[in-house]
Amino acid sequence: MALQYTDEQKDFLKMVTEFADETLTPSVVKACDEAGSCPEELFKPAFDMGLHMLEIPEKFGGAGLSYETTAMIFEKLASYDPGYAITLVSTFVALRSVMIAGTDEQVQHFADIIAPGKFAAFALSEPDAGTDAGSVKATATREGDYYILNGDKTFITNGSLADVFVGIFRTTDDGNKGLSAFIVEKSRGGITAGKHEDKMGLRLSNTTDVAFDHVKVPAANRIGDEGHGLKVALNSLNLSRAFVATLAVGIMQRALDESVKYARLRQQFNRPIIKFEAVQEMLADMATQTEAARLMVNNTMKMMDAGSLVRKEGAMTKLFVTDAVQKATSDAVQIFGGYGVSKDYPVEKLMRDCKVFQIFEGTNQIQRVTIANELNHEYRD
Amino acid sequence: MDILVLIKGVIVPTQKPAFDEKGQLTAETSTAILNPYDKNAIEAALQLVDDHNGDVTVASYGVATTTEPALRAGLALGATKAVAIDSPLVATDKDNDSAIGVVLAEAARKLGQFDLILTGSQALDMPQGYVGALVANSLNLPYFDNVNALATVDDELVYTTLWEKGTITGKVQEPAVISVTDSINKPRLPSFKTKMMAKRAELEQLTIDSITVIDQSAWDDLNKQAPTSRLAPLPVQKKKSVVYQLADDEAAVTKLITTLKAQSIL
Amino acid sequence: MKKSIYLVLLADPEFEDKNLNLIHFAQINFENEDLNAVVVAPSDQGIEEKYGETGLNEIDILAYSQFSKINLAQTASVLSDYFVSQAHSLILFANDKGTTSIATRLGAALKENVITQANQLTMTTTGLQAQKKVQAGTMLQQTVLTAAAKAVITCDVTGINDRITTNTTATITVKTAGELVVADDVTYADLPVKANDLENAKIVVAGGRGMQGPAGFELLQKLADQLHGALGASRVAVNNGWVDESTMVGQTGKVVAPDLYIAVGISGALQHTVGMDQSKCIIAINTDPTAPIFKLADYGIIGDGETVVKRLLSELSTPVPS
Repeated sequence: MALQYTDEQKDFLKMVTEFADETLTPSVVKACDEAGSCPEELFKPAFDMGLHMLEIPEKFGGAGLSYETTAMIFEKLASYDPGYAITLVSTFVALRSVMIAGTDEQVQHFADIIAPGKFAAFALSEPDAGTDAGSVKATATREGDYYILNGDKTFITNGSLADVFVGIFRTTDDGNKGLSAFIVEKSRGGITAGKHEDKMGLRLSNTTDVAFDHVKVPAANRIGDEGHGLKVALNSLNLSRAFVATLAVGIMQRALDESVKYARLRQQFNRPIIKFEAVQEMLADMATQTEAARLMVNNTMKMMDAGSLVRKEGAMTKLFVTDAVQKATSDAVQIFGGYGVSKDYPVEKLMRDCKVFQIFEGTNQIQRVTIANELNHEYRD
Repeated sequence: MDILVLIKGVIVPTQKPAFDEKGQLTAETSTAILNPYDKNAIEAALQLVDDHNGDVTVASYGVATTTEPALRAGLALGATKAVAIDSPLVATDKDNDSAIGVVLAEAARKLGQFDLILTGSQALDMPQGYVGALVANSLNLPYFDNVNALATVDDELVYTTLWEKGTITGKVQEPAVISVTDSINKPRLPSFKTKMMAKRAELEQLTIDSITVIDQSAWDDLNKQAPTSRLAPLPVQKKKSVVYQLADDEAAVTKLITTLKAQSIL
Repeated sequence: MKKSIYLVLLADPEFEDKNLNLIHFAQINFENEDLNAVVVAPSDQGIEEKYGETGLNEIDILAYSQFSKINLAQTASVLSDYFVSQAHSLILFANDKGTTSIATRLGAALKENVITQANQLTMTTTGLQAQKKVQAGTMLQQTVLTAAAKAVITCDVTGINDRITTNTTATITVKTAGELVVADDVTYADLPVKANDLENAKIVVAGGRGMQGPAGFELLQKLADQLHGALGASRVAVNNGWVDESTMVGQTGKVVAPDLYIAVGISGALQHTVGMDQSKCIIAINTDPTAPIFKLADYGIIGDGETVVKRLLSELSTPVPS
């Protein structure tokens, strides 16, 4: 591992390793992966440890960890199962909108809801508004001190688990400038989760449609000003891209661990296959790419801790790491040979789990657009 | 219910162990951690306090480099107070388990009234399982060891001791000293929040400079008789297969059993 | 120098096997010393027959009807009263949980050194060296007691055979125990016999393709029961339906690291060995001398699994104490 961890970070990594060794045993992960869902009680020990409160400042009841340290912890967790990890990370995506643009009261309110062990979800995507976030159709209509929310959101991670949502709704017809962000408590009523997606990978995570039907929320639940919703969402997503990448680093590290262990043990032609050059090349590339990916994530996290919105760096990190993980996991299957495609061995799942990383939180195609736009912006004048 | 948990910072190897001239692990190859068996004692205390209210105090004897990690780990698990104990009366060049047991008893008396004093069944680095008995004897308290279950039945605390082939059950007459097994519970993991708080927490210091819990003559005797001890690596036994041919050797099975018995494998 | 060494023998069926082991342990470790014993028993009946000819020098019997293995505090108190007025240097116990509990209480009452789980005791010119395993069994600790120092020591007597040949006859004295403290207010219950606890078993007997069917696994189960161990199996055996899936050891089954792993009719495919290669001692039994399992094995027998297991069963027909 290339990073120089502080003693505190080492302690935290030990804690999460101990936790994951006990909670996410291979048999538990396999059973959940087969079932395509994860029982809620499997998150209880994570909540007891406060894994869902890492980023929240101590004054609001969280652990107050830096983005950098939080990312290290989630990389480790994702090496056990990225679907489990993203369930917790998705709570942060919602949380960050509140932390960036909300008031202290709103942060406290949000923290109080999730503290006892509840999930949150970020509800932006709609059937016709994916990469093109500006075309959100769900509406928020002002009625006195309240807004009435209506509309359908889709591919919502934690859709049927969440007790609180951060949702983007249209308050005026004014295109990108007509969107506003809201904290929406499940307890307001009128929120129904649709069918749970039967996914290729990340099968421990919960992904559903969510329908908002005349959900009445107080105006005090609006995050930031009316019309600033898209900005809130995009800023939160910028900060979340490197977190998606850190999970992918966890998958890469797992692919590397499994591949090296196997290549040392597996004998062909009377020698372990790690002695064969073709295998060595795959392993060396995998290790190098994993190091580079981890360093890139780490640097972006440090920039975020320093207050940067990492528009370009977040996109670059997400793009690089989530592309690199595809080859790493595919090579891991290759090294395992015939066993690689067997569900009794751990590597085929890595390949299934990592694909969506090129798609969600902004496709890698749109990341390239973002990076190019930022370059254009940087070199202007 | 107020509970004192006596814990130890055990010295465990972090890499291939190296030994200094006194036969102890070198600082470079070892580190101090909270004795894993004491985590069970802390967990048992926290569970009792959850049911009955009260405070859990952790206390540890030794130099700061060993007590501090243990005490902070105890706080991270949820103890409310942590006390580092030292004493100029204990010779540092001896293996003075017995003296430390008496000093811990003295400290327990100084720290106040506790309903229970708990400890893990043994230390990972130097498994002895003697401290609890000494503390109980010095303080004239009942002692229950190898306790594998503690339950409140009709307002009374009932303990179960685990033996190889059976269990002993009885009532705890408080105050008492109890040493618990590592199967009594599954210690909780610290939360990130309590871990952060434990890093900053103040550790109380308690210096024991006189012994009142046992006679001066017994104390002097104890120290005079203290042994010295050294660590050594296990003699390496090279793995070399011994394979018998049943076809050529009618007595192969007998020979195998004899060898296994001689090696104390069976 | 001469030491005055006392063995504490508790006359309860739970401890009696180990009493003989302890005597032998002491004889091995103190060849040139007189060994005395104090027997704590409900009555003096049968003590002489049991221990009179075992090579002990003097035996004191502390007999009182209230004696019971579970009266830990009372027994420790009786022993403490005895040793306060009985000159001694070393007091040796066997290493059961119960005997160790009494030993530590006795040490605390006498304010003497206590060393538990010693596996070797050596007289030196300056005193006594006691050796034990520490650091979860990965290192040895050697403790040196000065010549004048007294100690209560529990001895790791497992594996010490109870073959004792001697011609000496012990002098036996029946002593009356002093005034008894109140007996411990406790009850005892036998532990239920556990179902196949593969992951915690000290001994695992596992079978594979070479067992050829469910009947082979019945034999292995018998052997496992006799050794107080658990039954394991390779994936082939489970897939063939010869044995329950819960017994599977390996990549897709359980990972075990017992003290002893007996692999019968298992070739040793990687799929299986990743689940057992950390076992302390591995015995391989297989017809194929080139089977990879022999590379991992400490001991092996090249031969038919069923034949070898049947012989093991008959040779081990007296149960080994767990």
